[in-house]
Amino acid sequence: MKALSILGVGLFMLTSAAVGARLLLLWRRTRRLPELLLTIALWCISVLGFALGVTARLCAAGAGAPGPIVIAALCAEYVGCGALVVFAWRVFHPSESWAKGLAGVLLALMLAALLAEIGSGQFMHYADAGLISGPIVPLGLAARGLGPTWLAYECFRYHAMLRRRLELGLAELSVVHRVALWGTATLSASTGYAISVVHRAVFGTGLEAHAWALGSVSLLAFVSAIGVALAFFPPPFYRRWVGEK
Amino acid sequence: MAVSPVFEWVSAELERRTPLSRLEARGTIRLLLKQRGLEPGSVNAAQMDVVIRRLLPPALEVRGIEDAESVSNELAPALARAAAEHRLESAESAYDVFERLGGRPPPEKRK
Repeated sequence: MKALSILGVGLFMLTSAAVGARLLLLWRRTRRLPELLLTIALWCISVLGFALGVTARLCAAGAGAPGPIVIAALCAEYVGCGALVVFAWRVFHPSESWAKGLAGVLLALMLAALLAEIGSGQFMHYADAGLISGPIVPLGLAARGLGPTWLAYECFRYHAMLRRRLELGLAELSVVHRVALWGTATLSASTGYAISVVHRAVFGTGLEAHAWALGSVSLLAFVSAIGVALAFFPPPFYRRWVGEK
Repeated sequence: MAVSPVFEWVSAELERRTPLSRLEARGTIRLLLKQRGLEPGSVNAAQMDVVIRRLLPPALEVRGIEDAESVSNELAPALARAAAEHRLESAESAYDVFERLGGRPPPEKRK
């Protein structure tokens, strides 16, 4: 199970790093907000968050996890999830006040959850194997999961709209697929957060305590990596398959 | 909800060229856009052209408009002229963003 976990998470990190770099190059050319937000999300959640998280765990196995590293990992993850919230608002509903309000509420919730996690000291249990006390950690995970959840909903809603446009020739199949693939990637992330919330709430420990939990989230990371890669870094065979000109 | 200048222009023209009221004209266009997954806030001239040519005539007939075909035939080129003269540009849509994020420019912008 550990091998599957390393494979899933490793692939997720590598894919996100590569796609993030590609989107950063695109942003340097276009200077548009969506490219920047996706770069921030991919690097903060998948690269910085995971790398710092693993470092903290390795330290925890030895002399003890250094608090600043765990806090940095946590902050990176929150920033990445916040970027997903802003992406959902700015890309799908840029001129609608309800979306602006929802984004504001979600970002405020995330900030409150981050401060609560740090203030309570419970954040250290992300690195060590100790049991959490109180609802702060599951609530923090839930707050972070709201970003990918909203985005997944918006992607699948928009995908349904684009499928109706296809019949009139008003959408390219490759773009329709890209929206669905990004939706699949964010839904996988959202489901991963949901599993983590339930696991922490029920058992109080990290996912490593149960093979089924670790395996499920690793599999979701794998699915997410495939979705991100095909959506934003499609290989030539995939481009041909969707008939991209 | 904010609507695009293209939506505003076509709705106003439809109201002017048919017996439909302002509410009916806007509602007719809104329904056609919704049926085909388009949004009043981001619809552009090229998309509206397809809607006018292919979907508007039967919709006008259902609403009892005589000569629905010729209304659409006149409206489509008028929209193209207005779009060019008055620069009826729409805000960037989610489709535009996802098209760009694929790393390739949209077909009309490719060399």
